[in-house]
Amino acid sequence: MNDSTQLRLRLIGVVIVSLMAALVARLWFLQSVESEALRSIAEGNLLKEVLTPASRGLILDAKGRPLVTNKRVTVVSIDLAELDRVLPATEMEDERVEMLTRLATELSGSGRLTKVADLQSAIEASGLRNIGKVTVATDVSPELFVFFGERQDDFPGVQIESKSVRVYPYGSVAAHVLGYMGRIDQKELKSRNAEWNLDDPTAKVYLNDDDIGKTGVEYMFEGELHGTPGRDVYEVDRNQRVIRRRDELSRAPIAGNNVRLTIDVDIQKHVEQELARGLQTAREAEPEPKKNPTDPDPPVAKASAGSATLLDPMTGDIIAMASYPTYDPNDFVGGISTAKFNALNDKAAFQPILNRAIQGQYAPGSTFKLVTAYAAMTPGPRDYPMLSAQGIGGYLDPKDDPGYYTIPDDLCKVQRDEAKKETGVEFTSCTFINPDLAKHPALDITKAIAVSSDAYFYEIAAMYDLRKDFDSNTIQMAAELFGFGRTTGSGLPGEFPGVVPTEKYLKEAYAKAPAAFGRDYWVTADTVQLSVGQGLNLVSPLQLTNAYATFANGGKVLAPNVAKELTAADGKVLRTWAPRQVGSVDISPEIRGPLLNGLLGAVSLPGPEGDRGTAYDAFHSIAKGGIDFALDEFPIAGKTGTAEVQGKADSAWFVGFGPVKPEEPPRYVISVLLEESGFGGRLAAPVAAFALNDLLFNAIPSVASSDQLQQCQDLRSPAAFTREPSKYEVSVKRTTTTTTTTLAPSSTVPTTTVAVPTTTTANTEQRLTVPAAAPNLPPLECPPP
Amino acid sequence: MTASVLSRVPRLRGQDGLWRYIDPSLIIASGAITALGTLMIFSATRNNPTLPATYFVERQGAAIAIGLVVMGLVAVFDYRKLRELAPLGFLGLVALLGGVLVVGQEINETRAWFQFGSIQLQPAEFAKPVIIVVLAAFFTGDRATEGQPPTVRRLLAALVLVAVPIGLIMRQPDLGTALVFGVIATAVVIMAGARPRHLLALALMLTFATTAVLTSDTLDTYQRDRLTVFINPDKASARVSYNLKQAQVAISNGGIPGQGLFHGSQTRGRFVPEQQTDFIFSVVGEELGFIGGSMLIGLFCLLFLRMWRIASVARDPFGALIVVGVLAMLVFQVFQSIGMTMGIMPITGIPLPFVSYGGSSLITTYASIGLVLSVHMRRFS
Repeated sequence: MNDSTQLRLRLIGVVIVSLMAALVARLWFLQSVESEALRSIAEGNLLKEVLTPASRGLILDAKGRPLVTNKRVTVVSIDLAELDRVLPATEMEDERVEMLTRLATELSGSGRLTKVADLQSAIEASGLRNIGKVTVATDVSPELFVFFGERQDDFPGVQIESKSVRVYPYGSVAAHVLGYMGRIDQKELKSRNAEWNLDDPTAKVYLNDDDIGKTGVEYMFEGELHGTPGRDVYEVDRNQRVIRRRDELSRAPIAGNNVRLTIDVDIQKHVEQELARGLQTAREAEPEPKKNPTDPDPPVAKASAGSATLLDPMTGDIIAMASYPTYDPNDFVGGISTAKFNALNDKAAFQPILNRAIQGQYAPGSTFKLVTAYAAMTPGPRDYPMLSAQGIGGYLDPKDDPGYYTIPDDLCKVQRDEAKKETGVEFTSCTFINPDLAKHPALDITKAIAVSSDAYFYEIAAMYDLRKDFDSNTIQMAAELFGFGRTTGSGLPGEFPGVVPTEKYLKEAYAKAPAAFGRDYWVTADTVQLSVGQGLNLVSPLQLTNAYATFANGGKVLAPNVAKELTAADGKVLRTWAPRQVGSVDISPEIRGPLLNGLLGAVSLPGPEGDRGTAYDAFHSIAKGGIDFALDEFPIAGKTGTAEVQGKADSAWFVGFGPVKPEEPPRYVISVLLEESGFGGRLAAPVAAFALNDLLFNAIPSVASSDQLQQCQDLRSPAAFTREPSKYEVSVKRTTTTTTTTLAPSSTVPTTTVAVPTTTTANTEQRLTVPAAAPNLPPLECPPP
Repeated sequence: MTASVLSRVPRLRGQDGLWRYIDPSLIIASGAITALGTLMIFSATRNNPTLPATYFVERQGAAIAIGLVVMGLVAVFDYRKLRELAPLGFLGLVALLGGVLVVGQEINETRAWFQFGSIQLQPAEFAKPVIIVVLAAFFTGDRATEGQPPTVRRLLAALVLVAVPIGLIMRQPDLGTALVFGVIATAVVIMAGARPRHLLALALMLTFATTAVLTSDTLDTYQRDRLTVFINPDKASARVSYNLKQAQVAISNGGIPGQGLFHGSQTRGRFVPEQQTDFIFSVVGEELGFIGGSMLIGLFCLLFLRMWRIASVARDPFGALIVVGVLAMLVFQVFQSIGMTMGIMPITGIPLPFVSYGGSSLITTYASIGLVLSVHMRRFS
C-alpha cells in the first residue's frame, strides 16, 4: 500500500471521526440544551384530557329548603352531522321523515308524547344544518337507553345520554329571583373561560354543552354555582388510542357552591298569592264613579301585572320578592321552545319574564311625598329649610288645601317671563289642581302626608323652582340621598336605576329621543310633578321599598341582600352577608317624628270620607275590601300612591313598614304595586294588609315541594306505584308484573310516615305528613287533595 | 484465552489457521449493536395494537440467525475469488433491480420488494455489497495499471456501472438507497487513487446533478420536501415536519439519563412514525438518553475503527477497496439515519445498520461484515 493510499485512507478516517463527532454533538444539544423546550411538547403529545361536568350548586331558601336542585335525566338528542351523513335533508327527505316518525313513536310510546312536527321544528329552530347537536327530548324514560343503544343503525344520529339538569321543586315560586338557565353560547363560553387559566386543574371552565345561568340568582351567582369540572387524563398514542388512565393527574369534579338566599319560600309563596289575588280584585272592582257624566270613560283597569316586595329594614334582607305574571323555570330545562320563549317576552301578555320588582319602572306617585317632605324639612344646601319662617312657614303651621294651588302673582310673573324667554310661549299656568279637586282643611306636614294632599307639596315644589334663595334641585338631591336614580346594589342582574329628573337630565334625554320628551327646557310644572312622584320620575319597586326601609331604620341606606350564606358542597361556610350600608340619610328626631306620624296617619287616621288616612280603610274596614288589622299590636306606617300613566289606568302603590314601636325595631317593610289598576289606597294597600296580617297573626301554610307533593300522592294512593308497565319493561318483566298490576289499591300505608288523628274531625281525610325539605324544620303536613 | 476458545472452532478444509486471524472485536461490536437494536425494536413495537408484542422481534431474530450464517459463509469464502464472479454479480444485480420494478410488491408508493409468502426481500439492500465488490474488482483488475491513478475513461465507465443500479433504484423510487450507492462509489473512487482534479470534476458534476434533481420534476414534491425540510423546517409540509419534530421531541424527552427501557412515553405512544425502522434512533434517544445514544455511536465507532484498520492492512488493493466500500456504506447509513432523526440530515428512508427492523438490511449488513472478515482473515496469505 503506497503513501497516497494511506493518505486517502487517513482522509476518510478524518471524515468518519468528524461525522460521528457531529452526531454526538447534536445528540448532546438535543438532550441537554434543548431538552426542556421540547419535553413540554412531549407531555402535550401524550396526554389527553376529558372534562366531566361538575354538579351545580344548590339554591336554598332562608331556612335551608332547596329551591333549585339537580337531577339526572335521560336526554335524547340528534347529532346533525351524523343525521345529514346518513339521511341528507334534500336527497333523502322521505327516509328522514320516516326515521323521525319512528323516533316520535318510540318517544311517545315511552310516555313522552312527541309529534314528528315537534322533532322537525326542534331541528329547524336550532339554526344548525349539518353540524352540532339538537336536544329533542329531555327526561325521557331511562329504558330508552337500552332501546336506542341497540338500534344505532335504525336511528342514525340519535344519541341518548344522561345529563344533569335543574329542578325547581316549588315550580313558579320565586321564579324571577331564581332566574333560569340556558345553553351557554359561544360568546359566553369565550368570555367565561377567558377568566381561567385552562391548565389550572381547579379552573371552573365551561364545556361546550354546559348550561349557564341567564337571569336572577342563577346568573348572579354563576361563578359560585358552577362547579369545577373533573379531568380524566389519559395517555394516548398518536391515533388518540388510550393506552392508560393517569390517575395521578386526573381529578374528580368538584360540585359548585350552594347559595342560601334571604328568601323564605313560605312567605314568598304567600306574598305571590296575595299579589295575584289583589290584581284579581282590581280587575273585578267597579270602576270609580265619574265626577262628571260628560267626562270620557277612564281607561280599563287591566290589572294584569304587579309586584310585591318584602324587606327586613334593619338588615336589607329580601324576604320575598314577587312579580306578576310569572312563569315556571322548569320550562327552560332541556331547552325552551321558541314559541314559549316568545310568549314569555310578549308585551301584550305583560312579559312574564320580567322581574317587575327590579326591572319595572314606575312613577312612584304620592309615595314620593316622603322624600319631598323630608327635603322641605331639612336645610339642604341652604341655612334654613323650606318649611320654616324664612321659607313658606313652619311644618306645623296649618294650611288649607282648597283642592288646588296657585303661585303668588309676583312669582307667577317670574315663571311666565322665564318660560317666554325659553320658548316664546306667552301663557304658562300658575295654578296646579289636585287630581280629584279633593279639599283638605288645616294641614300640617303630618296630616298632609296622611291624607296625601297634593296642593301642600305643589307649593313646596313651586317655591323651590322659583325662589332664588333656594336650590331648585333640593328635592332631587334628597331623592338621591334615599337611593333613587341608581341601582340599589342588590346585585340582581338587570336591575334598572330609575330616574330622578333634573333640568340636566331632561336636556340629555331630549337630545337622545326628542320625540319622547317633546321639549328640552325645564318648567316649574316639572318640579311640581316631581314633588308628587309624577312626571319624569321613575322608580323600581325594590328601590322604593329600600327608600322606605332607610326611613324605617333611621337613615341607613342598605344594599338589599338576596343571599345570606355561601357554602361549599361539603358544608363549609365560605361567605355570609351582613347588612351592607351604602349611604346614609340624616334624619333628626324633629324631622322623623312628624314624618313618621304622617305615615302612621295614612294607615290609622280616622276621619270623614276624603279626609282620613288614605290607607285607613285597607287596615280597618272589611266592608271596603280591607281587613281589621291589629294595629295596636303591630303599628304600621305607610303611604299610598296613585300614579297616573298616560292612556292607561293608574298604578296603585302602597309602601309601609312596621312595627312602629319605641322599644322594637321595625321587622318588615313591604311595597305593593298594581299596574293599570286604580287607587293605591283602595287596591294596593289591602294587598299589603292581607299579606302582613297572615304573616304576623295567622301561621302561613308551609309550601310543599313537588317531591313532597309526590310523596303525599304516593301515600294517599299506593296503587299509583304500580303503573302500567311500558313496552320496554314488558319484554323483560311481563310474567312478574301481570299479577301485581291487578292488585287492588291497598288501604294500609306505612305507619311510620302517617299520623292518624286520634280525635275524629269533620274532615275524614287522613292527615298525612312527609319529611320536611330541610333538617331544621318540622315535618310537612300534606295539603288536602 | 481467546486463542483456546477459537481453536475449538472446527477447521474447514484448506483453511487451516485462517480462524486465527479473525477479528473478534468486529464480531463483538456487531453483536452488541444487534442486541441493543433488537431490544429497541421490541420496545418500539410491543404496543402495536394489531400485532402480538413479539411479532417484530421474532422476525428480526430469524433474520439475525440467517445473517450470522451468511456472515460466516462469506467470511470463509476467499474474497479474491469474487473478482471472477463480479461480472456475473453485476448482471444478477441489474436483473433483480429490474425485476422488482416489474413484479415487485408496492408498499407506500414504493416498488422495492419481492414478496415470498410473508417474507419480503429488498433487492436494493442485497445489491449494496454486490456493487462494492463489482467496483473494487473494476478498479483493481488490471495488473498493468496497478499503482497508477485510474484513467478518465475508466472513471466514466465506473460512473456508468453505478448509474445503472442507481437509476433502477430511483425508479422504485428509493432515494435513500440510491444515495448509499453514490457514497459507496465516491469512497471507492477516492481510494482507487483517482486524481484530485478528476475528483473535483466528479464533485462538480454531482453538485450539478443534485441541483438539477432538486429543482426539476424528477422528484415528487414529498421527496423534495423530505430532503429540504431540515434546512427550512417552517416551509415543509405538515406531515414531513411532523415526522422530524416528533423524532426530535422523543430524543429530547430522553435527556441525559433517558426515560428508561420501555418507559419512553413518546415511544409507547408511537408518536414517531416508522420508529422501529428508519427512526429507531429516536427510541434509543428517548429510552436510553444521551448515555445510551452516545454508547451506541461509540460502538459504531469501534466497528469503523476496526474496519479502517483492516482496510490499511489488507493484502491487496481489491480487499482494501472492498473494506473501504463497506466502511463508507455503513458510515453513511449510520450518519444519515441517526442524523435524520436528529434533524441534521434530510429525511430519506435509510435503515440504521444492525439496529433497524428489516431482514434484508440486516442480512446485507452481516454479509458485508463477512466480506470484511474475509479480507482480514486472509491478510497474510
